[in-house]
Amino acid sequence: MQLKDLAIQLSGYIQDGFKLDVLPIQENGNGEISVLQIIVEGFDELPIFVTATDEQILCVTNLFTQDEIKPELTQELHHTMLRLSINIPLSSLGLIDDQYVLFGAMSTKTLLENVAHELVTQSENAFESLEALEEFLK
Amino acid sequence: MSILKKIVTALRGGAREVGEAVVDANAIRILEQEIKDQENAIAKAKDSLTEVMADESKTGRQINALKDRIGEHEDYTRQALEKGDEALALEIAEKIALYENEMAELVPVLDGYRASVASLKDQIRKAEKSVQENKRELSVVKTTERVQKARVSVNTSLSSGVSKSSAARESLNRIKERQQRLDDKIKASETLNSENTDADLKARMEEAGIGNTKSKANDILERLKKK
Repeated sequence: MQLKDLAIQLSGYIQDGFKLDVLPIQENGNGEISVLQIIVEGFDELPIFVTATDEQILCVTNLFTQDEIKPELTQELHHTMLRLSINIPLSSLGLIDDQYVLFGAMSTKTLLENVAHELVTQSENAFESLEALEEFLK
Repeated sequence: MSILKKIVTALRGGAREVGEAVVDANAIRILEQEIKDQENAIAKAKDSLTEVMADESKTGRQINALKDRIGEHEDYTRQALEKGDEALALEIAEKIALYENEMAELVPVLDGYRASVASLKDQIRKAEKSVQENKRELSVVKTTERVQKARVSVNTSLSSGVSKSSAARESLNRIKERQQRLDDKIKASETLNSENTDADLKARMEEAGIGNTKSKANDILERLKKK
């Protein structure tokens, strides 16, 4: 599924009682959409950034950056995140450059309803993960 | 070196922009070209395979036909010998020798075809494996590239003020506040609803003369008259 189609179909979509808000972000210049910013109703501060390759749809939510965590707890945080990741349904924890993220990957053949469900789940997961890891933050 | 191994090497080398360290535009083009070449090679090998398989079965049929004919002529030779016609028997036997020579030529050809079929099938399987491997690598490279691109375009769009995402703790608190407000709202409207239904019920009960009915002037008058 192309990002453009996904943007059109997901815009205003209501899943599990949550409304989805979609903002396509264009790559500088050529008009090609490279990322979608999706906000699940009520989780405005935790937007999901969606990209796609031929094979998979990748959904990334930024949690916190390296300089937001208490330096003395870094090691423990990493351990906790590795162990926690398995318990989180449909999403995993990761690190992109200095940005800690929650992410989920789906096949491009995934049904729209399942994509929407994953997005809602991801927002809830991101919120709960932040809440759970709060004590590691400065 | 596998792409994942390259990424780990880049990470341990302290590369911050992993995407750039691993994914140059050339790498993707080369991988895509390799996959295309291999897929072409597989298609060609499959064409050859079907040809060779056709030849194989044709040769096999020829050999079987010769065997049948040899059997037939051996029968004839026996019959000629039984009749005591040695000369005819020899002539028929010469024919058998001809068939046998022809068969002796065909058998190694058939073996050759069989070997080709086996080797082509082997080649195809190997090429398919390697295409699958390259496709997976390409997928890793493209994902890495996409994540990088997303980072860049998100950063530019965020700095242009489309949507400011704030520090984690702030985000967390704001979402919590919003959820609390929503909870409060739901509770408030629930209380309101129940109050409304209470008042409504009371009114209807009064009308029906049940419960605390209001004293009416007529009733009072009636009561006073009785005294």
